Parts: sequence; C-alpha cells; structure tokens
Amino acid sequence: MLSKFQTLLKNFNLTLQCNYLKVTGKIDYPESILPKSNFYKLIDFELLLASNKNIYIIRRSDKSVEETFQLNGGKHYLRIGAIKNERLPKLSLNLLGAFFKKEHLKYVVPHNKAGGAKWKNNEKVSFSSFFQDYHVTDFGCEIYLHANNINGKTFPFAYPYSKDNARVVREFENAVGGGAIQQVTDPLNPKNIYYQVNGTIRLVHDPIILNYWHVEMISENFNGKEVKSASPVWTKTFFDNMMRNLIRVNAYPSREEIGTVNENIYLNVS
Amino acid sequence: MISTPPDIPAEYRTLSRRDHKRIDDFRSEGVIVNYSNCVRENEFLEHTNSFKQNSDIIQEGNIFVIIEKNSSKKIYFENVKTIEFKIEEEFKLSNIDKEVFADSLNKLKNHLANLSFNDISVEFIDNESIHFILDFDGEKLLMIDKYVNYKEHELEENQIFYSFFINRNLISSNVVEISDFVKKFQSYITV
Repeated sequence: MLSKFQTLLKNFNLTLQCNYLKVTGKIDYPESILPKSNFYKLIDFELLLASNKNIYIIRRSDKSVEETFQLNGGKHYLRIGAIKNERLPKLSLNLLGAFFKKEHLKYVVPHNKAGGAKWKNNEKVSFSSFFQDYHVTDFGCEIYLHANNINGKTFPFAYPYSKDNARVVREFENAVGGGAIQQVTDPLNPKNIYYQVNGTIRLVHDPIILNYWHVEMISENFNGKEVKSASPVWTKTFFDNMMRNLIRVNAYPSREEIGTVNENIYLNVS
Repeated sequence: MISTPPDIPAEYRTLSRRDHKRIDDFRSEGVIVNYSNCVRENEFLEHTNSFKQNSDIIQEGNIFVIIEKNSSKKIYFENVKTIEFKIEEEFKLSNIDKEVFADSLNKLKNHLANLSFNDISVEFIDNESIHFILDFDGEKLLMIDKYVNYKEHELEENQIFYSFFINRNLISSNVVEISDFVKKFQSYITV
C-alpha cells in the first residue's frame, strides 16, 4: 500500500516537474512522435513501400553537407566516412511521411535510457515518465535515404567454400531442400570453390518509447540470419560494405517530394 | 633529330641517343604511335614527366610521347591525371598517412585508368581502406573498395570489393581480382 502510494507520489511529482518545464519552455520534445495505443505494434515495411514509391527515411549527420556528401558526375553520394562508425547492421533511422519531421532530428534518445527501450504491447506512453531520457544536439545536415530502393535489395556474392560455411549451407538445405544453393568451381582457378548466394538488406520498424517512427536497417545472409562472423574474415567486411554502398548511393542531402505514410499503415482501427 | 614544337617547355626538348633507344622500346610497347618534328592535328602530345608514375611503361626523362587523339592510351593517361588530381584533393581533406596508401593507390590508379569513366571520386578511411566511385554513361555507377591491410581480412593483395549500380539499383557485387575485373568491366561498358 505504501509502495503504491510512493509510486503515485513520484509520478505526480514527475508530471508537475514536466509540466513546469514545458510551460517555461525548458523542454519542447515533440510528443507527436510518441507511440499511441491505437498504433500497430509494428509497421509492415513491405506494405508501406508497396503503398508509395517515394518513402524516405532520415538520419542526422554531425558534419556539414560538404563533409557528408561527395559530388560525382553532378550527383551527391554519401561519403563512407559519414557512416563508418555507425552500428552496421542495425543502423538507426527515422521514418518520414507521417509524424516524424526533419526538425525532430535534434532530439537524441539514448538506447540505454528507459525512453530508448523498445515499445511493447501497445502500452500507453506518458511523456512525463520519460522527459529526462533525451537531450538536444546540434548537427550538421540531414541524410535522406530512399527506402524503396534499399529494402529487400539482394546482392549476389560468392560465399566461399570452407568447413564452417559448408556446415551452414548443409543446415540451410536440410531445412529448405537440397540443391537450393549452387556450388561453383572457378574455371580459371579450380582451387577457388564457392557457393553462389544472395545477401539481403531489410528495413525493420523498431518503435521505441520516445519515438514510434524509429527504424533499423539490417542485413541477412542467404539463410535469413545476420552475418556475425564467417570464414573467411572478409565475409563480414563485405556485407558491411555492401550495406554501406547501398546507403551511399541512395542518400540525398535534401528531398523535395516525400511520400505520405497512409494512416492504415500505422493506425489500427479494428 | 626532332625539332622543337613551339609550345613545349625547353627542358623537355632535347633527345639523346639513349632516349632514341627508349623511344624504340616504347614503340615496341605500342605507346608511341608516331614521333616527328611537329604535332599534327590528329596527335596528342605529352612528355614523360607527366607519366612517370606509370613505371611499367614509361620512365621519367626528356622524351616526347605522341599518342593519337582518342586512343585508349591517351584516355588512359588523361584518366591517370584525373585520378591523381582527385587523390591529391582528397588528401587535403583527410588526416591520413599518405605513405600507408601509396603502394595500393599507385596500383589501383593504374588499373582504374583503363576504364572509360565520366567522373571519379575517392575517399580514405582511417589508414585502412580506399573507396572509389566511378560514374559512367547510362546512369551506371561502380564502387571499388580496397583494404590496405588485406591480410587482416584474409584477402589477396590484388583483390577488391566491387558494387555495380544502374539507376541507383544494385546490380552486382563481389570480391574479385582487380586486373581481370577491369578488363571485363571495360569490355562490358563499351559494348
């Protein structure tokens, strides 16, 4: 009973404190981007991208446009240095076209704060419980990514034959049926034996408590699993590079037309 | 003796007997298609100091190299200069150790100069990797990634990653030996 009372008192104090900071203009977090209990737990990206060919996701760059992008053939391409230190896979992004706007990029919600935790079970979010879980940052420029050109893209590559990799292929074929993966011997170099496979890049909706529009980019090997370590060592490097290159080619410093996310994509009216 | 074309700096005008020997060597390589006392309309004139990086073909010296306009050699040499310019530009922006990249860059440059690109850009990452973007006609784009510390990635010295895009769509990617790849890619691009 006492504990319940203490919790109520704590929440009351937090609400008072939060409201005071809001009224005095000391905090201005865009509560419009918070999850709502009538939103879908997860947005189906396949459905979203099928509904509009101009869906964009956005992230911030700490550097200026000139330091973030490189001009080549009259077009802008993202510098690899702009994303070299980022977590790949699981690159953090935000979905545009609904409530998240480019002006919201300055709000940073660290993953290790309660407000940065995954939003689960359609729980109602009260901002006053999390108003201390973000900070505001200066940043250099926006990076717009064309989601339609990134999600589901496959990249064919030679998965080298090795004892470990053969086991991975065997496990996969046991599940889906033999002959699914072609083993190839390089005619010019018979010692070079590999499996011809595809890797895939996917965008995954990853709503967090303080931002429903948070998205992650992941890469999968042919068996749908994340490439963590493989033999030879370059397999992981190669995957990361393909992911980065796909991002670089589909990144823009500005966009005029951004597709709208239809309500039926995120709003559960049933 | 070759007489002096009017627009050539004096320090490159004199040919020695040894130079004649080397010119013969170059001709046998197919580099010099003509040398004469003037530069004709269908010829492109350069001197070897510009090309001294191409050590397999030409050494530095006071030799005129005359190449037909639009010949693959002329495109090659022009591409080498373009790549060198882009590399220097990027070095100015980066806090990296040039020496770490020198050997890899020299080899990469000579391979990539064989490709008939419209534009090229380069980026260096942490004394570890080199990344080229090459723009071609028809919205085609080639990305080349080269790791300087290739052994750490269990790669061979001459192996690179490539990613090929048309209209910003990824068409193909792989780990390949650069010399063979460049030959095949150039024949594809010129079809």
